[in-house]
Amino acid sequence: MSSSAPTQPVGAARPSGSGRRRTTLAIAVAVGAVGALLVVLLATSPQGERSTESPLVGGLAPDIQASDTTGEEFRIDDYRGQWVLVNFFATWCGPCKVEHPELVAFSEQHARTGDASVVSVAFNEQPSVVKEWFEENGGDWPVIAKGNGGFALEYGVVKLPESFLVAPDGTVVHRFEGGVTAQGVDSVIEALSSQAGDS
Amino acid sequence: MNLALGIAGIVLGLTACIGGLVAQVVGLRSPDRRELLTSSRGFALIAFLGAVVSVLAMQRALLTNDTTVRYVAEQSSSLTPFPFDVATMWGALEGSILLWALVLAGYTLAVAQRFRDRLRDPLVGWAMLVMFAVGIFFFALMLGPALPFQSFDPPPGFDGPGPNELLQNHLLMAFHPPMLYLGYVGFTVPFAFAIAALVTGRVGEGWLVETRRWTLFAWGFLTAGILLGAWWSYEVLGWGGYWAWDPVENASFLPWICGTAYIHSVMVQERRGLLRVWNLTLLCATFSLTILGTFLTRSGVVESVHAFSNSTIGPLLLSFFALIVVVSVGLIGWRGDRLRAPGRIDSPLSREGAFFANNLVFAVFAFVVLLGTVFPLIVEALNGDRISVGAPFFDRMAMPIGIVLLFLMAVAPVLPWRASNAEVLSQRLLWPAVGGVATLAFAVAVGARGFWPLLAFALGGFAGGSAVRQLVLATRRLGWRGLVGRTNGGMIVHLGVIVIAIALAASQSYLREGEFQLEEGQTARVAGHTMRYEGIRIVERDNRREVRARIVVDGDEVHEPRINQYLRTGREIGTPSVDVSPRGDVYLSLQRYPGDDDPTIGLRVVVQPLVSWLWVGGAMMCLGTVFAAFPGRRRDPLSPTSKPVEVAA
Amino acid sequence: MTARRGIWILVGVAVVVLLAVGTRREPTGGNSDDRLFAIAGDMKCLQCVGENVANSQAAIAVQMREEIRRQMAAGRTDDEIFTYFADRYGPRVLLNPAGSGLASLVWVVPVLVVGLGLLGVGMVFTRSRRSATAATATADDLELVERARRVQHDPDTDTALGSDLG
Repeated sequence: MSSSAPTQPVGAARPSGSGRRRTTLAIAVAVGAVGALLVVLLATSPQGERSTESPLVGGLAPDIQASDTTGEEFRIDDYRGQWVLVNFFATWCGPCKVEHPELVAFSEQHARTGDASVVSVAFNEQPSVVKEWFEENGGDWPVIAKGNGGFALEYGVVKLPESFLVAPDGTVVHRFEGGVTAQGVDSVIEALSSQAGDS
Repeated sequence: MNLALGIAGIVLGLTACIGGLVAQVVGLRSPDRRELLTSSRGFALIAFLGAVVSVLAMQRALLTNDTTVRYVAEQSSSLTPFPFDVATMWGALEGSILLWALVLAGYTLAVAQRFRDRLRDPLVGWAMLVMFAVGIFFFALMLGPALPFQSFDPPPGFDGPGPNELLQNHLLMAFHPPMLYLGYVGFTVPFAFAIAALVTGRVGEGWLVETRRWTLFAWGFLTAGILLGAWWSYEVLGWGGYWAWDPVENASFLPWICGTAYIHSVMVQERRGLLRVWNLTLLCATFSLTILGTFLTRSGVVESVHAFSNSTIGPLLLSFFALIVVVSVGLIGWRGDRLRAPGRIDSPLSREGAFFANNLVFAVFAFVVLLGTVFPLIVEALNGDRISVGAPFFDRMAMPIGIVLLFLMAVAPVLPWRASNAEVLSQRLLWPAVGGVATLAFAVAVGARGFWPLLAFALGGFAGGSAVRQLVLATRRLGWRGLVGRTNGGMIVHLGVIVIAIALAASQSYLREGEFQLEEGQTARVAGHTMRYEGIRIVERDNRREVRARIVVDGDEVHEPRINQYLRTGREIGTPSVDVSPRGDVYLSLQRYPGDDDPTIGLRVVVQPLVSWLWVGGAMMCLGTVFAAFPGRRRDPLSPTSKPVEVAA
Repeated sequence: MTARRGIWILVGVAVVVLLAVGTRREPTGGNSDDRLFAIAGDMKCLQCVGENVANSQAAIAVQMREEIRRQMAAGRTDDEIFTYFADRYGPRVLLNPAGSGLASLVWVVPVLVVGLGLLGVGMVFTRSRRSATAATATADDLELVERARRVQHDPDTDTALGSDLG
């Protein structure tokens, strides 16, 4: 007993056998094409974490104006003409502690030439705690511990630590996710300087 | 020892599946070698034993904390309490594949056993072939990129970090994945039969009826697994919600959508032989979506709380998905002529018409969920922008779809087959409509406001009335038997779905929340509830230290939301405390415990009405599924039309 | 029958009246916590996986909520607040894809698909109703019957012999 014999007499019309086959085939091809597109899309999508460009890159650095832990007034605009590494951190953040010696090295190295500075912005901390932490761990550059997390939001900080490199003309040129190394920042500065030099 | 046993088990399973596949191929090619097909039972048994041996080896390693097995060293710890160490097996990628292989081998054996008298039938032969092929894939995965039994040389005094703390907070973690897998993997069975029917060309026989209970079984477990996941999310994660439209949640939901559409649509094929292409497509879609879901969970393509670490397993799973899609689409396209139905849908106003509409709505639902999940990838591929598609999109899309589904649930059970008219409908739907108005009036009376939730309540009452009407008629005629069997069990499942729909509408629309910094003795107020903070209490446990905040809710209920400090890793994970009542939940989450200079706690309070109804509705769905699987009146499975079961109202 | 019709009319009236009574607008103004969580709920917590800013306890999410509160108090509209965050974190911080550009397709495509689907269904139904009943079998039908008649029946297994591979 075959299954494909119709069990009722041919009554109402429907597409003929080949016509029905064509319709099904057409729909099958369409579905298959969509499926293939989906597979290609998933195959070519990057897997795992990927760091993002900041939307701030190319624009003027958001203003940071506050008094630092020594009581002096800090304004980021004062630093036009040199590179500034704006570093967002917290004293309770492990990776921040790990990157700190790198910042110290970077700062000391460029203190001689005077072409780059570091400024640290603490996220939601008491100024006294931050001051103590810096005394313990070293680092001789302006440290902002005011304004709670406001500056972090202005810069679009997602996680700590994060650093932003500001060019001598005051524009943000690079975002560093996670801890930085002195060499890493240097190579970015070099690459961007030579680009600017060529153009 | 565990290593050797484990690998031996996997090799045994793989060899058995290969042997089974080869035997099926040879037996199917030559008609005089049909006897070979019966060997599938033996091969299935050996494959299952192989899987069991591997699982036992893994469990032994976990329970004894045998850190010479790398998986145990990386995932478990001597401090992990029972039964979380058992559950650690499926806490990470390799072990989860092992669980999958076990369940798959179990199903293969069950199918071979159940159809043991018909193993010589080429249709069954092809089905077994497909199941062995899938088995080969998963066992081979374990010998390749997902090897659970790698050796490790533990340094002296080594103790592993233990499973992720989120996986140790609640016992539900033990049950959620196995249930999900019983569901996912269970759909392999009807899929295998679908492929077999397409290949053999015997697409009109009763194979669908035969596999109905298997499909229902798998669907029931998938439903239970998804609901358990939602319950776990609510009880453990601390954000007061139960469904985040997280890409991996969506990946488990997509096969559920297609599976639900299938179990409805297949009734039309049984009764009238229609919608064959739909049913085959839905089945193949359900199965391929389970593989896609597995891929999404295990590659790094989408971010998710569920994501296992990505590895080389991604491309393999994606290729398998592509293969399944190609094979399914190819076979359905090839067999287009044989899938001609002996009739057609005469009128949209009929049971067939309603099920057809049901298919369409579910197809749109699946499309929308899939689109939203992969849309960020599409945009990123096209112009590099990274956007997010989150709960706001899915909620907004799901709402009208849910409304339409509620309406269909109300109308479809009263529609006769073939054709109907307004007269019949107005007669049968009268009491359900009154029920809907009563529900709406009650909701407005107790203060519910907002167009969409009220519409949902009204339609819920309407659909509930329709389901109850069906049950009343059936029990009047058949006594207790009126509660079991496909239609009646299905009505109970519908009632469960309606309860869930009402709970969703209420808890989403009337959610109130607040965050507070409280000193001892201070009281927070949200939506008419008071929460007084009375102090901190520390409890030491084997693997963690609990910082508990004592909160008195509404003057008499004491709750202790806490922050757990895990000793091994130093991480802090919170556990919320929930005041459950039929009217709603008061959800307390401790965000911050007092510090040296700050005596306040950070407390988050979420008040959601009717959340507990979600779990009640879920239980009703599961109960209804069990009832639906109950054997109904004997019916000739080969007859395309049967005597009507319903009497006129 | 009139009694039944009467009840249906009552039902219809009751539904309209009750829905009218019960409909209420969402808060888009003012400084209530409801509005805060509504706005925060539409933004993604970038430090977390799969959580939004309303629900997350992460430091950045808490910070963002405080900022939203500040901006609400300053009288900003919902859109202005969303733009503020999108300018700094990129469009991915918004869980509701923008209403313009490529991202807006995610809203448009489902509507298109539904529209096409309804159109297709309508066509199928009207076409099948319009076509006349055929009085004769087509050539394909005859061929199908011939093939079926040629297939042998195996009494033991109650299956068709030889046709399994098509």
